[in-house]
Amino acid sequence: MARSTKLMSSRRSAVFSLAVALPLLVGLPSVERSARAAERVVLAVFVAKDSSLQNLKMSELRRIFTNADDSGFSGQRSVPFNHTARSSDRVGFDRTVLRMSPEEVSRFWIDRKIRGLPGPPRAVDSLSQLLRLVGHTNGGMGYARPNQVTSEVRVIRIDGKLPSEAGYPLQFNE
Amino acid sequence: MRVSKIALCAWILSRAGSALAADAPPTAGAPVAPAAPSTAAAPTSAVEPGADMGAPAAPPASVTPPAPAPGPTAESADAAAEGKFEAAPGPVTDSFATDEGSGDSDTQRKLDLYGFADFTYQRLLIDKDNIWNRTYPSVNSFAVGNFNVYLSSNLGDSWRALAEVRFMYLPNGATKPDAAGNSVRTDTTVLDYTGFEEPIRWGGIRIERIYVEHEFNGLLKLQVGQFLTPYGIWNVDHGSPTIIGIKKPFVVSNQLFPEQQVGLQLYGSYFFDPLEIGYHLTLSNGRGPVEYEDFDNDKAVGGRLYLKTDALGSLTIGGAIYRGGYYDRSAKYVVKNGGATVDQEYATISKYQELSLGADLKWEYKSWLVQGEAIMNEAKFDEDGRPRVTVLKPPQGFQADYRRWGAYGLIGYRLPVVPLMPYVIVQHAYSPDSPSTPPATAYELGVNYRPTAAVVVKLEYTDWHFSAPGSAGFGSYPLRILASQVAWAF
Repeated sequence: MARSTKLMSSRRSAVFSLAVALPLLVGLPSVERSARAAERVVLAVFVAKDSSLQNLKMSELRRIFTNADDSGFSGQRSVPFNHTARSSDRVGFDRTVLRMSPEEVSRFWIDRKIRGLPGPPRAVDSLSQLLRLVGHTNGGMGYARPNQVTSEVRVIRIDGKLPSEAGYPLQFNE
Repeated sequence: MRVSKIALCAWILSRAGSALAADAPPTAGAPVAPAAPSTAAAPTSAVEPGADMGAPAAPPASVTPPAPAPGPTAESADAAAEGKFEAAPGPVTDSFATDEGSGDSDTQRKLDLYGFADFTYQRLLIDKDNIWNRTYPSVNSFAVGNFNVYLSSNLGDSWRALAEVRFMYLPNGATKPDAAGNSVRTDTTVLDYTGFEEPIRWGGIRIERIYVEHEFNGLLKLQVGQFLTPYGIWNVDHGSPTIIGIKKPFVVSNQLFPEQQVGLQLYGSYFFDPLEIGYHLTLSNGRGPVEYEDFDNDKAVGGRLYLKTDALGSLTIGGAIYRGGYYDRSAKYVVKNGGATVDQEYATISKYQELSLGADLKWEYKSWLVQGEAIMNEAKFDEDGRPRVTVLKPPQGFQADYRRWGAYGLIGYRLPVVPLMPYVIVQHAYSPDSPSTPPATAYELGVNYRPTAAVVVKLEYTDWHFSAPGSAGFGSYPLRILASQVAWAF
């Protein structure tokens, strides 16, 4: 009997411990996670300062970053530069613009190269390098967070909107 | 006491979790300054399109908070990058020479080397006395089928080159019937002089394609060399990691269009949002017994027109045409002009004009893939150009004009959690040019598992149904094939 009572008491303690521990284990981090989940990342698309390009539709941006050649008669094609694979902004950009997960992006480019088609845009591992490449390349285009963009380049509108405007399409939850 | 210990542990754990949750995620694409907070709710900017924005020195108030550093990168990390940038040649404007995940700037005019290979095992699920056991190739065998290597290079100034070669065990082991009805096997065994003359077998190399391309503009690109005939989907998808099934549909492997051509190809496209219109035009030697010689001086022409839109998934509809002549001849030297001249006299082995038409559709919508092709090919022989038909049993005869056709449809669905695509293929082929090949319909069920982007594992069951026995009686026997394949890109 005494042993049974002790066992019951032990179980109650365990339940109480869980009741105390669970909110601490789960609740606090989730509060912070929620705060972070609400954080939106906005990416600005930029071109060289002397480029005449002012605005792109999302569909056009998608085609540029999948190396579709829409240069038409002019032959003046955009030259996209990417962030390195798996970087958070690259993943977000691919999900938002290309509508592909990192795995789908890898599959997409492997399949294209096996078909004999052009491969992916060059990935640049330094933001300053990216900015300078875009700034110095005829038709160059890149993307970065708005506060990372320098005066070497010029931000363009996407679907008629600048990154600071409501309804700007190139944003995602980090 | 126990409660307090558990609570203490829980508190420590929770703080650790909070700390982990609060860690900054990897930054975007570069070792950059802290990210900007949300701008979604920011007031509308007065910045005009075309104006500089986000420059750290004078950030648009509505867009960026004060950045802690003037540049996006830390000094130390940036210095290395700057040095690299300065040392780099001009930017590459051609993606043949670019590489996913490469951060290297020294990519101009580099040789890009890559390829694919596959390994297949198949067995027939039929009775032992079924004649397919003795006529179907590679039964109950492991086989390395394709080992294709690509070499591509940006040559600068809108010139680029691509070559693809396939390394093969063939011709070793290839069989061919002789006039007496024997199946004669090619044996390439030779003694290796680099060792103790142990026997080794040599294989072959097949040039799949090799061309140089110049891009005039988006509407006009010219390839010269050997290229894959631009028709349909399967022939261009081409590589075993890219195609969904294991074996080509019969209508594709039977080459109702020639698989490759040697000549010129013009192609281009234009994007009328949301529609892309593209074309290919080809001028080539056409089909023939020798790739590098056009015996009949009759160039083949062809083309493809397609429409593509990403408005509802990715939908492509295309049509292709090919028209050309085939001429094979034998030659012998003859002495003319009383022995003063040695000349050649030709005798026609086979000569015909052919027309191929194809239609194709590919639709990728979310996780669904639907694709299909329908192809027709007809040949009209010159009266003195009909070859003897190679038949396995009498009566012998001459080749008649023919119209062969076929089609296939594929439906696949890539599962959301596991990178697995179950698929179904239904195909039909009618080949009157080959009397031993009866009209056939196949039902295929398979799975395409892609554990990584570069590796594909496939399992496929095929059940063939024949509507006639055919001249050799093959169609009287059922044919069921279980095949598995690992294909990989490298």
